[in-house]
Amino acid sequence: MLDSPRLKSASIAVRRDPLIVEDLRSTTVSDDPVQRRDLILIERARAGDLDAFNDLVRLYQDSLFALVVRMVPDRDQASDAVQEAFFSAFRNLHGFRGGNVKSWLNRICVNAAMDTQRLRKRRPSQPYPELEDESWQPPAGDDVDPERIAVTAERSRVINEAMTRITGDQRAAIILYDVEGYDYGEIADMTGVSLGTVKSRIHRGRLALRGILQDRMDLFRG
Amino acid sequence: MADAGIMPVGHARHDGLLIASTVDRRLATPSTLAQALLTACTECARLHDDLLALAAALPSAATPRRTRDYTLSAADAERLRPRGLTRWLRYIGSSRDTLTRPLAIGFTTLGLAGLLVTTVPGALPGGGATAGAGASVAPQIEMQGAASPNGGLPQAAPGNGDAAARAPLAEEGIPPVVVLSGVFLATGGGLFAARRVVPGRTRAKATIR
Repeated sequence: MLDSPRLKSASIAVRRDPLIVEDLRSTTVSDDPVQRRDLILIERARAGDLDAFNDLVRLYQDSLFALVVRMVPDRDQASDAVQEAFFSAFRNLHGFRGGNVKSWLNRICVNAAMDTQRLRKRRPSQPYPELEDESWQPPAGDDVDPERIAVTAERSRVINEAMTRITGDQRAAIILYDVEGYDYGEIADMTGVSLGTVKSRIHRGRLALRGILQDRMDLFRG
Repeated sequence: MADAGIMPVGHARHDGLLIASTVDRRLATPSTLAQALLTACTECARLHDDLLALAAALPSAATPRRTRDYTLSAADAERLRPRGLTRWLRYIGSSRDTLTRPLAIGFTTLGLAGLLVTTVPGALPGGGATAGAGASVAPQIEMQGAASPNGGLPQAAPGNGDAAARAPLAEEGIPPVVVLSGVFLATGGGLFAARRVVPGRTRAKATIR
């Protein structure tokens, strides 16, 4: 009975499965130099090297701030949320279980931003007081045509302002999907809601944005 | 058109959410009704184009510059480093933790085995078979109307030799093996639970986009 071919093949299949998983994992990590660098920094930071952690902070603080400030329209609150996220990342270095370091940091920042949004609901503050401020980053691209620069700046101003007028949940879902490029499942995982809720937030949020910007859509067309 | 019959008349009655769902970079083909709306209704087509334009404009929208450096000072690091119980709790379930899982499995197995042994009649000398014996005696007790006042433990019934012989077991209370098994089970379960709900633990996905 123990020598039956069915049992033999079953035991072989059981032994092979973990090997396949391990191969995939090592390939994924070693093929990406950025990922490898981040993992080395994480390992050093875990061993107590503060400089290694600060190297990670320097690498990602701009993109993480850009993510959070889109979700939390108040710049100071966004800044506090990013700081808190880095604190949280440092405290939980040993909780990092491999994979993409940027995704891990993004996830922590999204949680911090959502906590801040929840707090804002209770204590609302003035949204985007510095829209006219020169400290706003210019949009990507080497556009030198002044008219185009003006249009792009106006487009940014208008869309950012409209984003502050949709709900925080819709804003977070749209940013994670359209800007950060996460898929529905990942967003559901990050925000702790169902896939259907994520879709609904994205679609309703888009419709709300279009409703707010109905009179300014000429800026975005063609 | 095949779907013209199910399409409501007038743009106000068209499903905006359905149109919004077609602005999905990962959706291969929109539904038949959505396609019919986009083809037959100019307002729906315009809405679709607008939503596409907004989705495209969003990533390139300017964001404020970072005004602060988020690097941690040595004092920050010292303050944030977990100590004592917090450190141990954070260690549980982390990637370096190779101890708690086998411990949890061991404790749970011991606990279950202990409970199993105590339920087998006659498996333990003396008071080992309390649970099993209690279960078999209980119906007889109930039939005689001698229900126990303290949680259903069997009491000696007059004229019932078997129950009378087991009366000292009830007086002894819960056997140590049962208590020990319970402790093992609780410890194992607690370790399993701690691995799952360690505060602040963040799971990272292994997907690389």
